[in-house]
Amino acid sequence: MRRGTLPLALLLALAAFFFVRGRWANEKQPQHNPKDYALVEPSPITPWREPAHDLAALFLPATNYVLESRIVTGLTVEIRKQLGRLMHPDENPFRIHRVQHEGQTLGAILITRVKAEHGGIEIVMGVETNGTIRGVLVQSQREPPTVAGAITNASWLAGFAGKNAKSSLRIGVDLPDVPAEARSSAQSIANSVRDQLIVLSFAEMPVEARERAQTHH
Amino acid sequence: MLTLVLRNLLRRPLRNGLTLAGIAAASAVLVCIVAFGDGYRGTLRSELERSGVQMMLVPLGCPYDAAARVLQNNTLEHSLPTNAWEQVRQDPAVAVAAPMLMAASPRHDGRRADLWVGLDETALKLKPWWKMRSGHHWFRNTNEIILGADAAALEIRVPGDKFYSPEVRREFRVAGVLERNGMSDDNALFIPLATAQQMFGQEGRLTAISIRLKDPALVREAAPRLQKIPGAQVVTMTEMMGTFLNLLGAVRTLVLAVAAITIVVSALSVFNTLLAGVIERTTELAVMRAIGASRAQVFLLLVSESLLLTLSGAGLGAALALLLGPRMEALAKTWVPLAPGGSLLTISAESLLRCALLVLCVGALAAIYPAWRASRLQPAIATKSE
Repeated sequence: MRRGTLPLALLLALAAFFFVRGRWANEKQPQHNPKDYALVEPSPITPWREPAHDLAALFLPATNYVLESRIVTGLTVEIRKQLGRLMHPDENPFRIHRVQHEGQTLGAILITRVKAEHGGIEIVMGVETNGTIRGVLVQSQREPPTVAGAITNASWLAGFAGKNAKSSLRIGVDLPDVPAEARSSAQSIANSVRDQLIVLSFAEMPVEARERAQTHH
Repeated sequence: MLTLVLRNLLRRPLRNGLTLAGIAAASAVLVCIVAFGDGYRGTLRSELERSGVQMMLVPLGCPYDAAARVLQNNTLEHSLPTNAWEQVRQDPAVAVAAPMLMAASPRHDGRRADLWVGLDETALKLKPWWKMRSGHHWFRNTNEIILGADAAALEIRVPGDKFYSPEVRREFRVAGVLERNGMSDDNALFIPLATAQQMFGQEGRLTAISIRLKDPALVREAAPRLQKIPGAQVVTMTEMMGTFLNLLGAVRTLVLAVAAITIVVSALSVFNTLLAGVIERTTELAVMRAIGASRAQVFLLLVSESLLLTLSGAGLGAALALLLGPRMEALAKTWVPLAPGGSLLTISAESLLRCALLVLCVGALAAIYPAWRASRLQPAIATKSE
């Protein structure tokens, strides 16, 4: 064999392998439920609109934050089981804003968008390093005044504090009650908060635990 | 000669393969850019012709600014009275006159705004690119709304959902969601014209009127008549198209500069490959010269190697462009101003040929020095130094 032929052959074989692997992997991807997704495009990544304001409200001594993107592709099946639904495109990679105070991590901020009765609601969540909620804020919504008043009410949002991924978040039971017309949007927020905590718990898994979860699957 | 050239190229498969890949990538980029420029111009022209809008009536002010704002669904500071619409419709040269009212309502954070476009049903005749992703094609009552693709994705709305605007305190029902068309329609909230006028306290006012004439040749005759409508001015689509193409020209120059850099890099790669080949094959070339090969033959041999390499690269690049072109088109549509709805990429035989010729010229130029150096080898000195 001539010099140089072997490396070229290896390179081509490697490219062919990844190409075929990619195709097969795509074929194995679960299909989205047409009922849920065919009518609307996936929602774009939710921006964090007022970081300074939210940091002051949720992590007062914070000096800065660092954005991390965690790829949770290998844990998709486990996460789906826990969520009871398919993952949204903005949940993988999962974006975590690490909040710091003089180099020490205080917790994380998660931003998400949820479908509510009259439009999308954007939520900002502050999460402690142990995975419990420090606070929840609504950064954008387009609900009528009664509903908006209920879901942006500080005392209602304070009900989330101390909850974790395993907590039940039923309106009127685990969280303060809201007027009947706001219940649907409030439950959407609660479900979304729970879902974010679940994905966060997987995204924060140490490498060994991740591997165990994947092997188990 | 061709067999010799082929054999020489196959002797260093990795090096020549990588050079080939570089040329192919540069060639693919060039083909896509040329095809994109041709496609954009053609599609824009056909879209404007298809829509049949020959002119727009806008309030007094800078006509180009006004027409560009209207076409991009931006609001205007001034407005036209509804009787201007009546006057336009009564003009003997006018076939379709579609009135519209645009308004922006700032969101509560003050950094964003909802962009409302009030339309009359005649607008459908002038918006052939409108395709519904889902739902109804038009409003069934005054409280229905049609959302652009981005607006629907942001608010996670599907037909039948409620849509509330806290700023204007009004609830709508989503009638339909538009297919993404790469235009400013993607972010807009479309509502019936009368609803928009009432919502923004603009009863009897319009932002613009799109006009299709019975015969495009009547533009010169109709424009002066319509210009006489008080507070209004006419902008023809020919003038607007010139503005868009100038805008595209600036983008195209920038992208062509990037393509030029990739071509130069691939030319240097060819140059490097050939020069390395000449240095490695000094003895061989000297022997060729010693057994009777002329300088011209050695020169031609090296140039042929370069041409074959670049020609293969151009072929591979054309295949890549055909394969990846549609994906690049989707990407380009997101940043090109006022991207028309149709295909922006027109890869014609002519554009392929033009790009192949350019790449061949670059290959030939890159081969000159290595070929000259090879042809200048002195057999006695070269073999002795080996």
